Amino acid sequence: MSFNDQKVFLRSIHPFDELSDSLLEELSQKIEIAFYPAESSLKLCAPEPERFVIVIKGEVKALDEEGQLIRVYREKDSFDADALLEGHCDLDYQVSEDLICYEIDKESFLKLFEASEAFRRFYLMDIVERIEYLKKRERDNGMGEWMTARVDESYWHSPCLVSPETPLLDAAKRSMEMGRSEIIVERRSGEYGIIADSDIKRLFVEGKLAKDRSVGEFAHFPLICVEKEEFLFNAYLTLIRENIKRLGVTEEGKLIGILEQIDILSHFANHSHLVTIKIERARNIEDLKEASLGYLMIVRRLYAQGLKARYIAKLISEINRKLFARLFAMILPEELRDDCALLVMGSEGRGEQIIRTDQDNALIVRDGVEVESYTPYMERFSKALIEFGYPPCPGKIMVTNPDWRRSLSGYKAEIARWIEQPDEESFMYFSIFFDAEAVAGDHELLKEIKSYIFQRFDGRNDIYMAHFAKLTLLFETPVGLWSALLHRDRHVDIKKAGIFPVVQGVRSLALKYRIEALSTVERIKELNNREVLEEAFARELIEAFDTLGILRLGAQLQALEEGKEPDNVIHSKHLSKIQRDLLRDSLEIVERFKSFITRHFELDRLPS
Amino acid sequence: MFDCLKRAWQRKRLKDPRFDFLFEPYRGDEVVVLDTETTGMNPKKDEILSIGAVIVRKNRIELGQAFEAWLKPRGEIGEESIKIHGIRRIDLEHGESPETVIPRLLEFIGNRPLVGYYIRFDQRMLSRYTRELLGVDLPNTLIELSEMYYRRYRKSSAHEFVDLKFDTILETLDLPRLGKHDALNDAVMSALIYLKLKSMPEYKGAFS
Repeated sequence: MSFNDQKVFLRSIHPFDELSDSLLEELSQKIEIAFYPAESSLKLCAPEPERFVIVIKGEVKALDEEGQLIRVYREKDSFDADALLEGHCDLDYQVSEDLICYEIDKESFLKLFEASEAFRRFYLMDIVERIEYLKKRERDNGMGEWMTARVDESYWHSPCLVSPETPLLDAAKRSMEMGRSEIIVERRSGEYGIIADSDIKRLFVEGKLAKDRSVGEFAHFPLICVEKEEFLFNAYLTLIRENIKRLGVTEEGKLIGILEQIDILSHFANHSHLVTIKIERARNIEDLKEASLGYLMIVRRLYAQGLKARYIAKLISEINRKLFARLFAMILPEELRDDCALLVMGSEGRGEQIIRTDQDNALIVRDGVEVESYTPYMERFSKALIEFGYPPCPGKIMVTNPDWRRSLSGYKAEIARWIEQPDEESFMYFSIFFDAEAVAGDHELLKEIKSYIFQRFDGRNDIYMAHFAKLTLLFETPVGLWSALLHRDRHVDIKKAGIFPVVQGVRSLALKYRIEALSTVERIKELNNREVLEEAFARELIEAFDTLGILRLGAQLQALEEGKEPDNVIHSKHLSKIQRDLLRDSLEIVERFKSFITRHFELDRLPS
Repeated sequence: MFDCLKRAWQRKRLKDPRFDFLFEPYRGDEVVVLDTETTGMNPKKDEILSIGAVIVRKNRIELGQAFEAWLKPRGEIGEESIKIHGIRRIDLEHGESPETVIPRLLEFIGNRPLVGYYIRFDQRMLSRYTRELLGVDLPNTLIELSEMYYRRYRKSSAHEFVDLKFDTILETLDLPRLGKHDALNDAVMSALIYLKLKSMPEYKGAFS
């Protein structure tokens, strides 16, 4: 292969793409191609590491001294920089599929190290930095997409459309009713004109306003429009160029909406405040429903912009909470509102539900108040949520279920039962309830129950706590082996393999150390503050958790786009190289966390 | 036996003693994989346009020290051959003369065995030049890839048809195509074929 072809190949691999042309040139004069048949060993480490390997084709498994699979390398993967830098390695590299690879001698590899900052950074970074770095790169790669957002991906307003003969006063009233700040005039010829609120103010000052005059006399023609397929960026440039505040959005020349400067800016920033405003302004359940359906667009946008999962989740859960509170207020008569607390629980309680997968909610009623009086309203509440797109909870953990609509003392008794007679179900109920947050009504009701829980566990119930923590290990986390599946058409339930173990482990620690924070990330931070988790590990755990969340979100959005039911299954063939690396690193951290939990709660001393 | 005599006879006819090493028996563990691009398929009148060669030591292709050269042809390049190798006359403006390229190639390959796909053809083409310059044919031992392949892929009878096209071989062996079609790339691809075939057992017959 000519030097040029090699350079092209090398350039497609990070971090080799960061090398200067002359360094690549020099490298390609030093490089060798090697072939190893399947089932041979690379003998990379004996007696000491001397070669750096880049896979062109084939598969290599790295095994530790005990024969445990550590990693699998495929096309464009490279190894083992650490071994070359440290001068020794303990891994055995076994060829599992006929391997064709580049080999670079140690000296040349180290030379690149000295010569290229990017190269050095990539191989020296610890795992958190590496995840950050890879994410940033992925984001940068997504920049192009960001710039190519189209008008119809943005939010726009329905136009207040009137004929030229309409009296100005009537038109103005109508635009106020619609909450618009402009009137659009449509001529029979199909041309559009505009009267903005500021025009009316000017006419008023100039004394030209008269009730009987029609809008046709004042409107500016033509209204500047963009087709809905136009790039949003171009729409923005038009606004600036024409020094105007709004544009018409057309579909084949027909006006379908008004796009304001703020809409574009918020598209490029984030879009959530618009939905929040819509929720606040909603006059009935229909309005709320409409506002609520906009959430998916926000999620898509924030995801495309490369925001961390925890920030997306935070924005979305804020919107959700506003929505719940508003709906609750609309449905429940005022006299009933202060004697109860509406709870969201589970992932919604932790503020970690981005895509609506279920509704876990409950109602606490003040002691002495008739619980049954809430029943019909709770039915309506739940029904509305289902219409908003929150699927009912398969386990019926909802306000429609009398088990989750109890008095304060009723809950205490129930919780006592969960703890005293634990079984699989009660562990689950306890977990979900432990993550509850009050979103409407009297928040003190929940606070009282939470402190009751912590009191019950004060210095006691070690066995219960250990069993609770043991749930962390309920599902297998595929480390090492997972990488072997990466290149094939395989899949993994990322919730079971990665997200749940972190949530449950952290929840167990939160219970033990009486941490009130609800979100997994906040709990981890607090555990670090209390020196339960070391800072470096806490950081790694947060990044891993976030990475798993973002990968799951990506898969869920993809499923929704294809009209499928979003689930937690990640298909390895849909992942990019960077994503595969991120997933692999994250699952390794989860596995380490599981070991930590096992040690911390002495789980191996539990009778199984 | 006959080969041996022919070698000795040729060795005596060698005009330039500097190249006597070509006739030394080879004792190392390296081979040279070689490919040429030519103006046509007739070793008597066609010319070599480019040569690519790599040394293979054990399981490694020494890409860094690859041999690559372009020759300026004396005659015309036929249109049909341009279609095959994509080399036009203008591409060889800076081509070198056989008098400089061939000795350099001989230094490169030494007395190592030569490996290639229909290597006998390349050997005949090269011998045209070595006869002119040194008075001898290229004496190196030849290892034929299509034959190696055949021995591993025939299933039953010795007369069975096995598709020996270069691209078919690549495909059957599941080897990636690295780079475009030129003498050096084809030499590298041939080297990969060689390494892979070498790692596979030969077909020994149904009854062994």
